[in-house]
Amino acid sequence: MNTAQRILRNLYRDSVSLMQLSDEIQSLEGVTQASAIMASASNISLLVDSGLLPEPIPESPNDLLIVVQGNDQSAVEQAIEVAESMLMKRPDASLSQDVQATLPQSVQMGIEIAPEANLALISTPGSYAAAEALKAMRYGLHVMMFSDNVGQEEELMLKQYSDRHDLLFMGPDCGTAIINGIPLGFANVVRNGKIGVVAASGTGLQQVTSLIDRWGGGISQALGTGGHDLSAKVGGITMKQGIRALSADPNTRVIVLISKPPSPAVMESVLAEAEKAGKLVVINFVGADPKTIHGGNLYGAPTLEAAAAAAVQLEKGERPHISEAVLNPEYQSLVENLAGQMNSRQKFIRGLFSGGTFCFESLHLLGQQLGPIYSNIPINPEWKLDDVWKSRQHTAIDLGDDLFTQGRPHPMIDFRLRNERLLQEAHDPETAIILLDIVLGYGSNMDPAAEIVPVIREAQQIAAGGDSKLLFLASVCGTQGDPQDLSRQERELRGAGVILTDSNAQAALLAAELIKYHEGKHHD
Amino acid sequence: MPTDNMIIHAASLGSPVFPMNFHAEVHSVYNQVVNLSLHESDTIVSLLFRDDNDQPGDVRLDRRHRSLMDHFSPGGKVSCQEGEFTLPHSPIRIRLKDANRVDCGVPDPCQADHSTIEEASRVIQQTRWQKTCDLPANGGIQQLLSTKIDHGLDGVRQLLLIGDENRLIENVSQLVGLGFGLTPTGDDILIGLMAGLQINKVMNTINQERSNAINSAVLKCRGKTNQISRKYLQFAAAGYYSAYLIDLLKAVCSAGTLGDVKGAAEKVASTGHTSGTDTLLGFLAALDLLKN
Repeated sequence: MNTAQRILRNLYRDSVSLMQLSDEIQSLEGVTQASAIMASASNISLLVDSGLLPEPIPESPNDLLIVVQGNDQSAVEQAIEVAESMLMKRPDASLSQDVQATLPQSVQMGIEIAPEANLALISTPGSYAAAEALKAMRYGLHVMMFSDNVGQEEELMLKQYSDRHDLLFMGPDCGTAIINGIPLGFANVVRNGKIGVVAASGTGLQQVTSLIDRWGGGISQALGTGGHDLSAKVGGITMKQGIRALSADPNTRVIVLISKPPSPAVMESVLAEAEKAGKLVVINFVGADPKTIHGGNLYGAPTLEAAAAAAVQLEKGERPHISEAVLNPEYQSLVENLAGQMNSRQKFIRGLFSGGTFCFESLHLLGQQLGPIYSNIPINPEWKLDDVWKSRQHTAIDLGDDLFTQGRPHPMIDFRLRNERLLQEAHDPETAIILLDIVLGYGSNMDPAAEIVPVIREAQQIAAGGDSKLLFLASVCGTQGDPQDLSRQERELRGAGVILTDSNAQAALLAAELIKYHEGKHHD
Repeated sequence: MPTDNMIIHAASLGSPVFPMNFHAEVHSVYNQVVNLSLHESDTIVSLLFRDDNDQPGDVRLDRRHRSLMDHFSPGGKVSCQEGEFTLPHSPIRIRLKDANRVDCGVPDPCQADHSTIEEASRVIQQTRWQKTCDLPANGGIQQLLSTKIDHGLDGVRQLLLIGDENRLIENVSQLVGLGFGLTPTGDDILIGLMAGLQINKVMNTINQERSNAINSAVLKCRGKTNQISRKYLQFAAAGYYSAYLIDLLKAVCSAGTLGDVKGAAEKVASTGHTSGTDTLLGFLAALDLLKN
């Protein structure tokens, strides 16, 4: 193993820059390990213990030490030069003699490089996002804005601009779309087909498109509107843009709309636009009574799964049968056996969700069946958790809420927070059922089963230590085309004793049914 | 933008205030801060270009004066005469005379008890969790660093309880200067620990002499870290901390609302890239000792 080191006198850099630099140097060819760190005695000891330094060197705590290790001496020495130049910001130093291409620094530069582009995906801190989006639209680009923390006034301005210029504006806080078969952001790999989706909900879009794919249907386009589009201020501008676009799209036969219930005025204008679409439109306003949507070409669905099922039937030219949200018979048959495994102390459901819409849908379904369900996003203000870190009776938490994700990756990517909470619930003898959503697709964790199965097993042992059996219910939102291998994920989850249902709604309904049966047994 | 012969008034000075006559050299210009190395002593005085969070022994100028940083470059000469900074070949004068004095010393004895410490600890822990960012993996170094930090902190806790001063110094010396960045993780943790242990003066959970032992151990080991971090360790050992950390101490000690504690903890957590959350780790370790 070859090592090279260099001391840079009196040079100070912040911790994250140094660690990022170390990571970048480590990725160079011929380099196996690298670090840039102040040459204090403690850090020298750290580097010796890690094997990066073969032996201690004299300490000089005011100086920056770069150490590089690799298989080839010339590679490590070149890497040292690169590291020093990066620290000193000399851009001409590099490993190769080739001229390095300049990355575009602006929308204009991007268009010069790719003049055929017609969509800009904006992912900057919120305070810069509006300006960048406006620039993109002035160049005639449609916009998908991943950034959040953009005010509603700005959102309204941007969307009104996009409307005047016949451009599509998806966002802000739009994390999911499928455009011409290409997943953007968090999205699943789905079959191409005749169903177009417009959703003010990322995981709602993912659930519907995944189920459509699973049940043999296909997606023409899936458009995200961002979370505030259907607010009174913004008035559903993007949703209406989406309806018009899909109405005009010859490859779309059926349109699906998904959102939380908008205000009456906004709902009226969206439904009016949908009625004019000239195509069949299935609508799920999560938690709202679907009977309020009826007539003509409109079909109201009570759940995301019902919306997906109706769309598939319509795509085939069949008349949809949309019923109220009920538990499928195949899961109903499990109730007696599963409920029998709970003891008399176990009473409550604890839902731990990475998708906000999954949590929201479950809150409505559980609330209808069981009464109060506490949450950080309650459907009734009286059911707001006093302490979001501690469950109370039946509880369902949206772990993707800003409260939990500041400075941390989203729980669809990073399972640590959910895993910790899962173990916390396992320690509570009153926990009967843990309800989960597992989301696959691009952008999500690449192996959710590997992340959560060991924790589930540990939780089961904790419960067993208290003479309890914890029931785990989950749905896996994904398709066979997703990179995580849906079949393997389901197999590993089932192997850990998790009961899987086809959809989030079915998991919530099963949980409710189990509690009702269990309560009934213990009252008799 | 400053014009010829522009007088800029410093907003505040953090106690203890440095002597107002000296010659210095610009040590480094870094992240809203200009560090000055005083001749004839091993002292660093920092000019902080931000709107709050005074530091002991430092000068704070409001953020709107940040363009002044262009006038300072490493190696450049600075002098301070009767409380006015001058730079050669520059029209800038920074006047300290009318600046507010911010007390960076420990607040008066407080009303903390076990139950308020318990509650405060929970809130600070949650805040730290929320604010802790994922760091680049940096191979196995980050993991090894975390292990050393955990062992080091555990060791310090145990040794404080049993009162073994010699082994405490050895343990502390392994933490001083340990980690990445301008104020390494180990240093930030020790500052947080020393701050939190100030509460022991009221609670008397630990023998006060043993509690003080950490301060003298840090002073003995301070040479093992860089000059800038060394300054803050010295101040911390003498009972002086940043304004945000003082506010956190006040919030915990005044038995005020948990909202106050959370707000103060969030401010501490927001400092630097990882310094704030590292400081909270040390603070929590102190509260842990006081609870038990």
